[in-house]
Amino acid sequence: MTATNKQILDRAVAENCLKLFADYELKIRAREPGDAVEIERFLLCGVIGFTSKKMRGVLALATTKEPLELTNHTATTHRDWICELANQLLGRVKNQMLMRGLEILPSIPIALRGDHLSPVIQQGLVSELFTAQRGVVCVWVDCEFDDDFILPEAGECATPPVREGDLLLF
Amino acid sequence: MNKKVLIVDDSATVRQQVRTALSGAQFDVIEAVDGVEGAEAIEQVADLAAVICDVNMPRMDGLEMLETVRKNPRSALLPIVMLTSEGQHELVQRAKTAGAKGWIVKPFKPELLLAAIRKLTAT
Repeated sequence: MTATNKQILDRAVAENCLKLFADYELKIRAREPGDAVEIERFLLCGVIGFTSKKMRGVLALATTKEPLELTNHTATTHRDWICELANQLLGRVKNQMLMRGLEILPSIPIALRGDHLSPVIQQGLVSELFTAQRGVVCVWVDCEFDDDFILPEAGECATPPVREGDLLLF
Repeated sequence: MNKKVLIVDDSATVRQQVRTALSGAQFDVIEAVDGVEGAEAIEQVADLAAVICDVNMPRMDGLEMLETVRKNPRSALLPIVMLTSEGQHELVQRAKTAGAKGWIVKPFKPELLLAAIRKLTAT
């Protein structure tokens, strides 16, 4: 059951990563087996934790320099921006999980720097690697679920979350 | 005279994006990095026209800040718009109940933000 939960979560994270970068006008696509293997060092990794009653984990978003520069037109630091991107990505995932009746609570994001930064390839830890015209984006989730927990199916939500980019005035 | 708008967000990038969206339209933008600084700025700057506020921040979150400043008669009617990655209905309702005037889910469209702030600060 846990594998199924994890697969659903991985897919939600990957799909929302594509949408997030598209909203910042950077087209990225999932890397394919035939793509050239480049040795690129990730510049920074945005890390944000989350909890809920039945699951808990961490979302990590790592990029090379170019995707950060191409999506941020202000003069602020890459460190600040990778944190904000991780935060917005988890916000999207949270909205999707709300449609399944699951509320996750995000923590405050932090930035991580390191040599050879990458997910550990082990059971259940799947990373999604995207390529942009210039640079690489990688996202992964390390998550634990309660043994008896099965993620509910997405259903009709009586009060769906407000969508990204939407504005409500009261 | 330019109207003053406070942006409260722990991301310097978001603060800068808001500044860029509003500065060319006769708004002076003041910045605060969390709810504690935001509440202090609201207390200290007498002629604020509006506040734009994130939800998830260290020290004091945006909803707590909203509920705090609403208790002060001086800031009870100040237009406050939440700008956040959160879209959860219960949080939106909590903000509305506390007297927020709007809710925007990031990433925001600069023209929409500007239109909202213009509407809320129109005299």
